Amino acid sequence: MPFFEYVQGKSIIHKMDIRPKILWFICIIVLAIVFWDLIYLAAIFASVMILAYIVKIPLTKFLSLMKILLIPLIFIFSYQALFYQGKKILFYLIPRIDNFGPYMAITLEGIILGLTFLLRILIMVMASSLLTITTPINHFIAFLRKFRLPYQIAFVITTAIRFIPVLERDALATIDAQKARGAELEASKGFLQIIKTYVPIMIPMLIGAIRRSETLGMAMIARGFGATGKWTDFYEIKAKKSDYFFTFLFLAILAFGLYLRAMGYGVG
Amino acid sequence: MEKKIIEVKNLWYKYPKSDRPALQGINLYVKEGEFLAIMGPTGSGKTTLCLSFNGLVPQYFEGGEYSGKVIVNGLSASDTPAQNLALHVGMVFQDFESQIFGTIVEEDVAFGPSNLGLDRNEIMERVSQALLALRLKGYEKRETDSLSGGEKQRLALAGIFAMKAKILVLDEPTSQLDPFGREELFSAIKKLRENYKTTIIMVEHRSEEIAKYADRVIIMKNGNIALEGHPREVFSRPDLLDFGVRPPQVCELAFSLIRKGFFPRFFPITEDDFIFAFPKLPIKKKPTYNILQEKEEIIMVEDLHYIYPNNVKALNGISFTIKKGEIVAVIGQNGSGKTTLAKHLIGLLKPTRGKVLIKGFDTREQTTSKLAKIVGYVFQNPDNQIFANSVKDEVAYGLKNLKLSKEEIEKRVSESLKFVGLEGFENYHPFLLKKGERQKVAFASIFAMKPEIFVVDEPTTGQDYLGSENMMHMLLKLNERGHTIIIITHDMRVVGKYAKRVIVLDKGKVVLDGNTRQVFNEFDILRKCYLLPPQITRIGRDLSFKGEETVLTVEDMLSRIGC
Repeated sequence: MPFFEYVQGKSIIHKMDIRPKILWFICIIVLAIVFWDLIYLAAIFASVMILAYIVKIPLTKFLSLMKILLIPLIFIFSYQALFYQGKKILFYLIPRIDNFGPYMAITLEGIILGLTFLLRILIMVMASSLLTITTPINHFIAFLRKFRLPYQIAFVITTAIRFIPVLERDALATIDAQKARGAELEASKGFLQIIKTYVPIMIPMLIGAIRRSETLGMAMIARGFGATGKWTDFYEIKAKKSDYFFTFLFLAILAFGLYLRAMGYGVG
Repeated sequence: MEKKIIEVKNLWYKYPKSDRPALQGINLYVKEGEFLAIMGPTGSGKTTLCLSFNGLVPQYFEGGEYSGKVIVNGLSASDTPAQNLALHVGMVFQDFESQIFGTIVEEDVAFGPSNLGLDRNEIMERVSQALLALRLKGYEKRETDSLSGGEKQRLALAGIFAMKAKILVLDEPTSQLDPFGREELFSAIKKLRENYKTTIIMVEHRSEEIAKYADRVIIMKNGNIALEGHPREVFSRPDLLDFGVRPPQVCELAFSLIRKGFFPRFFPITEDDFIFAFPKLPIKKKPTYNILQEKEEIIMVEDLHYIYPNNVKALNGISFTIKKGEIVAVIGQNGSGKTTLAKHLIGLLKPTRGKVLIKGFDTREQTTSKLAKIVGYVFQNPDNQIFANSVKDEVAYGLKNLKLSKEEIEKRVSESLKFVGLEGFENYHPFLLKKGERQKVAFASIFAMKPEIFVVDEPTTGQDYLGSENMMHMLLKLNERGHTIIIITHDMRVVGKYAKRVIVLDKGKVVLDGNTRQVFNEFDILRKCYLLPPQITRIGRDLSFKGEETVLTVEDMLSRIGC
């Protein structure tokens, strides 16, 4: 999932403390849910895209994300457009032929509702992607530690993430080695056949992981894990002046948005 | 230097479920500030001895049998919790990948100090000190996974260093490193000793650096200390090979010269020693010519480019041809593209641009399983491929993929096991074999497929003297039978001794391609690629053997000196 992976950078959003960033994220998600008006959603979407531009998310990343989302988005859009019982009928998918039809009216309301859902999903996906692209995993853990997450669990999470690429490399090495012995991994058909083909890959991987965990356990002790029963967090999240400003700003936006909604604006 | 910081008294240890004690009555001391090297064949107890220093033996393994005493800095290693001993003895394990816990460099170095519950400022201080000491300054925010092997190795060391232990134990720290990474590691260790008076204990197979840097060497055999002394004392023993340890090439040369009646002023153990040890040698200058026979081309690589999916350009326009029956070494520092190139030869990777022809077949139009009939690829780590319940089934796997008849499979399995010297092991469980034997099983499983070309990735890495000797003899034998051999290696001694031709890669390009003598003559170009010819070639260079006179092996040198 490269479009959710942390990318180092120097943008203002990279530098922001994780707390205002998470507040921003909540703010965007809440607003995207409470507003139903297309114009309002478009404005929220535009704000997210401007941030994406500031962070300089490469266009290729964005496009590859869109490629994956394309089918579900089309599905959601057509579902709303087809089945919403609106009043302003634009056209019929199946027109009247003599006494037959017309059926499947496409209404303006349906299309607008489809677009609403579409935008809402795009906003949520882009906002999550923006949050994770600009925030290293250890900031998330430091954030959770503020909520008294035990350090043992914090350690397990960090280590698990650290070893994903290692295990992936091991897996690829095994696949290559078995291919070099003539394994035809693509050609297998049927459930049993697939299991049979993958046993030579799963077993070396499992054994390798067990071997690694053996060293890992010893290396933990060699680094004094549990020696004192104490633990010092290396990353401590610290708010700068600007972070207080952002916190205030996002709270204000959220409050203003909810106020507008309560006054009946942006209901669609 | 006089204080004994570690004392081992009559130490015996047997692992749980093992039938033979790994350590059998070890008596040893280590002086404060000393550099002690531990050498010896695989399975002689080197790692177990190291683990006894920081208490992991016996504490980590349930049900082992331990007797004797290990005193570290006044503490009993078997009774002090290993976590607490970590403050006195830091250990870097052989598999450096498995001891990096953080995703970011500074976070990983901070892991140890964090466990000690130190003050955050103190941790910061230690992290920057450790990174400076291990020459990783500027790497603070790098992702650990993006580091090279050499950098990861030094990071593992930095993480231990940040614990401020006075003793550092390193288990085969250089086995995965290229010559440049090795040099970096040794000079970092030298600095640690100068600045912090750190005691160093290192397990190592290669004797060259040990001769240069260590104060004392012990050689282990079957759980015992077989030899002990100053490197000069140990490496000057003519019977050293019987202990499964190969001395530096300069020592091998000295032995031969002594046998021919030239006596040195003192016994040389480093290349700088040589000239002073043998100041007056009769030097005959006679060039050696390699005669290349014209044979059919079996591999053709034409303007090969390869770009990884993450846009890393690994190969930038590589062209060469390899003739049937050649024995070629591909060398280059880590990340130069050697393995990427090798994977193209069996179609595991397909060219982004350009083409690779194997016996006339374009690899883009062939699956790897088809090419596997022509090209045998022997991977570095046998554990990435071993899965079967018996040695026999493991070797048969490739043959079943080739859809051979049952009789043919049986015939080939026994042929292959005979070739690698594992007759009688048919029904053994491969996981229960020793590492060297697992390597042989992996080799047999490729041999059984009867490929014309063998591509071998790091045949001698992490192997002891006998293991690498064995491997290279098998490859030579195959070459004599007409097989084409391509080795990818960091081991320059192996290149000098066995390869007829060398291809040097740097940044995805061919920098040098020629017979081994021509290539090893190009000191400056090799230096720029962070490569160094073998010690014997360097000694030859000091004696001004250049060009066609470039020395490749000890025998080569003897013939030059008029022996």
